[in-house]
Amino acid sequence: MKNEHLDILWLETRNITNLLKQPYRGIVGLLLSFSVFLGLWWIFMDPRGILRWYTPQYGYMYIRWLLIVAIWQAYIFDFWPFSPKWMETTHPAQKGLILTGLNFALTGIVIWGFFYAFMGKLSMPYLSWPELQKLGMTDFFAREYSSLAVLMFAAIASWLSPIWPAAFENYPWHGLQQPAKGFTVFAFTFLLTTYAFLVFMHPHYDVLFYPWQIYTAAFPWWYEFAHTLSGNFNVGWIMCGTAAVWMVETIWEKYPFCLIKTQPLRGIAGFFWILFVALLLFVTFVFMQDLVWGDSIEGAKRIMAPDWRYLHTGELAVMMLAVALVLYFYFDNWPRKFSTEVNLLVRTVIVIVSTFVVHYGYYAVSPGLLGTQAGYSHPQQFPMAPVILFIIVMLYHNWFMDGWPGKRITKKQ
Amino acid sequence: MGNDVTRRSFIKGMAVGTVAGYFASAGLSSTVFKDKMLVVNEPPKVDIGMVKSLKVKVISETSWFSNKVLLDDLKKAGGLLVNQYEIPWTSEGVKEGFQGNNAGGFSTLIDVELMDGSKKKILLDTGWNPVWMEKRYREEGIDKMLANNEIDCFVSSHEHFDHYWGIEALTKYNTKLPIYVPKGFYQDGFDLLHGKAFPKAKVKNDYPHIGKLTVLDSSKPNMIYPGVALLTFDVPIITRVFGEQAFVFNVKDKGIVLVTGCCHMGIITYMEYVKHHIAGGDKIYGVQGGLHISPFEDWDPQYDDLVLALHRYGIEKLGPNHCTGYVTAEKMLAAGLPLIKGTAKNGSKRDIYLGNGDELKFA
Amino acid sequence: MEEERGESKSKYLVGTLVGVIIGLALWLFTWKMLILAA
Repeated sequence: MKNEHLDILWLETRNITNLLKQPYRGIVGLLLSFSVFLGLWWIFMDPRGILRWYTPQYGYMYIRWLLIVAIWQAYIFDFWPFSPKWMETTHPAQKGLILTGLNFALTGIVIWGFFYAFMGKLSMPYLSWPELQKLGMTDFFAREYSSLAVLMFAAIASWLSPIWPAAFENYPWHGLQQPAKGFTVFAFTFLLTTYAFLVFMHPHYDVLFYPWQIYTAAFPWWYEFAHTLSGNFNVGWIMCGTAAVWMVETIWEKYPFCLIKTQPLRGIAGFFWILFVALLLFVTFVFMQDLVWGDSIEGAKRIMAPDWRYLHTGELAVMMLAVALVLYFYFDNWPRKFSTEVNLLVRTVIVIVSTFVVHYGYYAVSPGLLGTQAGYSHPQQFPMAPVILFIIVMLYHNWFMDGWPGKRITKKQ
Repeated sequence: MGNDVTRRSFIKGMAVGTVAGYFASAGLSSTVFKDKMLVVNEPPKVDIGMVKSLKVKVISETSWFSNKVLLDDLKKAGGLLVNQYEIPWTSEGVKEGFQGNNAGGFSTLIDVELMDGSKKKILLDTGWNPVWMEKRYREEGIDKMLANNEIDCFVSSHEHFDHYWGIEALTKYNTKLPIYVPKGFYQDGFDLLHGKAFPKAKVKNDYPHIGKLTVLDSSKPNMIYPGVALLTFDVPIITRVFGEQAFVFNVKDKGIVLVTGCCHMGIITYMEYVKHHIAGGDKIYGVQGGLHISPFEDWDPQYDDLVLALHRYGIEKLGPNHCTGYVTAEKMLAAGLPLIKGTAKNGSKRDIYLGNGDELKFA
Repeated sequence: MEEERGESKSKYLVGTLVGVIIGLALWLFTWKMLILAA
């Protein structure tokens, strides 16, 4: 579906070829990424491992920020300050090291600098672990409560930021050069992210503290129809949104809003289409859970809790996204030989069936593999965390390293 | 050529229609037609019989003495997913502790009179620190009851450190007491019962149990006496514990009384289960025990959902304690729920709910 | 040519309708499987 582009990302222009035949290329690439993911999980997150940050919000916060920073590096800033020539000619291993190192460093600066030392200190204490500690909160919960808030900025941005290059082609700023274009799109989408956070997550913090902070935050306005005060209601569909934007961008090739030729109509259609897909996934996943586990019960805990069911839709959506990205990155978005419509159908069937398999498989192997507790609904567990970490490794491998060593950049014609 | 094009068009249309049809059907089923498509199975109710009266005495509900020390131990170890047997719990130098040890324990004595006039004594849980538990057992006469075989059985609600690791204080007086544990106990839990020590976690049992051990699963209500049932829930719990069981009593002329250790499955889930599976479950007269809502004085909006939902169940005597949490208790009182006050004696910090040595009658 | 395009469009539409029915059937199958999994 190659229409006239207003703006093209470097990722879209690069030519990479397989050095191994498919499906071996895909299998090898997948195993490589998965091994790196397991290594990182052991070092940073595993409750039996070294740093043990999966408590779970603290570790999940880092994972969420690594993801959005990678999106900003690759999609918003188009790898600025590195030139397209540098991106094309530098060895993938070197590129991977530098870009991943930058990713880690920026994540640290955002969390420790922007949130903990600045925003949490001068505006809302719950954005900062040290600030909550200073207010006398138990250290463990000071870290968990602030981590949830900080990660939600990243989660919302993971949905809103890529919509600009993906749906709007950076309209109306498509004509700018980097870094002006990057800073503009980043600033605008982060502003929208902040509004979304204040409306969808800030009320959660009204009722999280005792007594309710009724003057500082609005009462959770979703209570009447969501049957829960918890912001997990919004976390659920927002996570579905993160999955939707990337599935639309990869396996669904921006179909069908890409049929609209002009901006900003195309972007607007794309935005609402992605939102529609997100909400569709959300209600469907809630319904599926109710079918298997029985209708949720207001006030209940664990697997019967309405708020956990909403959260779990996000967990299911992210598993679905992981499968879609494996298909896209490692199996060259197979199939591509039929018409677009048939290609989309086959990919969709593969992704849906695989999601059920992954959901079943994850809970079967995660206690031994990842150090989690058996069971679907554990208060300290979020399958989103390990799945997104795996996705990040795939992005490092395919965005930063061109899929090396299984793939290689060839010179443009 | 023409046929080729039209066939391809048909196939393309079919592909689009299939994807659109699947997702549209999914969306409509999940919203507009949800009521029709959500299949509900009402299982047959089980009649567990009846008891004449019930008395529940809190032997100890102070599982630990300092929240800060406990949470620091957990944070240092790597959080709430770390295996409890791998955590080096602080046992010295705790100002608020018992002899400097942060560990206390949870245990409850249940006195039930059956319809035939016979009386049964059941010990629910045996705490954490055997030295603390022995002190409380001696103060309440449990030691003598155990030695004289006046206690009929021991029920372990779940494998948690503060409910089960004081097993030595029990087996010291009676190694043959019949024991019921819920399905989900790990091998470590059985090993501890049979005399293994875990030096890292500072837990041991010098008096291996040699009596009958029964593992109760979640497939049905497990009747131990007429009118007395145990329900096991397959629930994942913090610090690598799985499965919890709790009591259901059907008290004559009063209704259902639920007695719990920690209720990790959640009191609402528990009451709903009883409502749909136990004859007479619509009338929940009383609830006693730990409800694990804000044990660390932390909070989550989900707990507000719980407090707000509790009114629906018409409970007449609400006697939570231990891991229910003081913040929860204050919110329950503010919501007008019938919370039973305690006496704040024998080491319990506040009288906002039942404490060590407090008794509650359901008769 | 015009006729061919017209026929192609109508076949596309017919195909879409058939596809929607297939999609509905696949969803009902999914629904049934989830009920059995309960």
